[in-house]
Amino acid sequence: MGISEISDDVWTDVLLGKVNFEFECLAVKILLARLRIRLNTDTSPAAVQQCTAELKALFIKLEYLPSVKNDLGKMSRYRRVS
Amino acid sequence: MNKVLYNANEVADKIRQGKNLLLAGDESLLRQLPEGRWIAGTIPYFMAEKGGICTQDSVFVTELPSYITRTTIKRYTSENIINIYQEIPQNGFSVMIIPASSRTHFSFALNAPKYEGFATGQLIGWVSGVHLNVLGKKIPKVVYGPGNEVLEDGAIVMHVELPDDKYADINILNIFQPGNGDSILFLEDSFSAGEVLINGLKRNLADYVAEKNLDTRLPLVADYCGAMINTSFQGIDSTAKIVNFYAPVFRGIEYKQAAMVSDYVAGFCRMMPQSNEENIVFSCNCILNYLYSELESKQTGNITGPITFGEIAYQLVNQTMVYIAICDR
Repeated sequence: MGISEISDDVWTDVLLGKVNFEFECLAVKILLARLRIRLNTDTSPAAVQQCTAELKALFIKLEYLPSVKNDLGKMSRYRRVS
Repeated sequence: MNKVLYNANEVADKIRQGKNLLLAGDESLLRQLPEGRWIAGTIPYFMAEKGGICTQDSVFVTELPSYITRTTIKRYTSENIINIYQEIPQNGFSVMIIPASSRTHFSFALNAPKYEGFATGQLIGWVSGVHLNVLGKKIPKVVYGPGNEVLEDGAIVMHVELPDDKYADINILNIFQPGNGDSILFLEDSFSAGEVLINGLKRNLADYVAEKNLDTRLPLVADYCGAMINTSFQGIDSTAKIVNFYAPVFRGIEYKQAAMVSDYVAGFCRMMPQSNEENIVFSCNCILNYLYSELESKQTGNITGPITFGEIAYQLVNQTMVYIAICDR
């Protein structure tokens, strides 16, 4: 599962805390917590887009880690219930 | 267990052989060493092959594996430390040592989450210190090995590149969990706090700690999406009504004081990921765990490393063991 196959909706739900995965990678957990704090005070589309870019950048750079692969797998299996 | 403590002559031999070394020891010993591919920080406390020890006669040596493809050793200041995450090798890791209470220490601790590329590279490290008997009298230092340059401020970093068939993975081992106590929210990012929100109500934290008679050996714990990150109490200024911490607290994060831990060593060994242990190339643990859990002469499994005034796993953490493993792809 590649990062590009995960839809923007999934990244948004993760960032806004609408879904909480048990992520394995320490870097993912730390960065996500920080981004969520930022989004607590600004949920504008621009802010969400910026945070999505930062989170994606981490997944791209650390994609070789087994823990990141597992975390991507969890996100890829997620389907938004509307 | 492998030998980790060496006298200065033995370390000098390793340096002359061109080995890439991460060193920790007393300043007087580090000053005797020849120039070479090493970085160091001052500290006399270690988790060594025979257990916890305080010594000013030996240097703790972490020799990086021979298969690493390249190392670059660099000095950073409080101004250019902002670039740290962008300069970490894509396939590799960086080890950073910062002197406690220096400008760079405070700057990195408070601002790292705002740096470009935060947490996107493998950054591990520690905060150097001094013997507790000379705390406040002697200044913690770091040493830039290629010039044997001793610094009171700045960060010394070894950027390490790995071959394509290996990868590095950083993790933490924190035996503390949030307790069942009150929720604490801070109003600003800072190493100290006065007014805070306790369960949503504004209160003075120093008064609250005194009233509740909190055991300040137990850190505050924040849940970072499943990662438990500690902030340790340094002390309470009851006149100024300020609580000081060893790491910053951050606005927007909920903290709770940790639940009591009855046996640190047993808890530590239970949590140690056995499958990964042989791949660990560097680790360090906190001076507060050493003191409060009375680790002198005790072993924490097969894990060795300097005992430090702060630990770095992507960001500054407290009262936590951090470690890096190198694994086959």
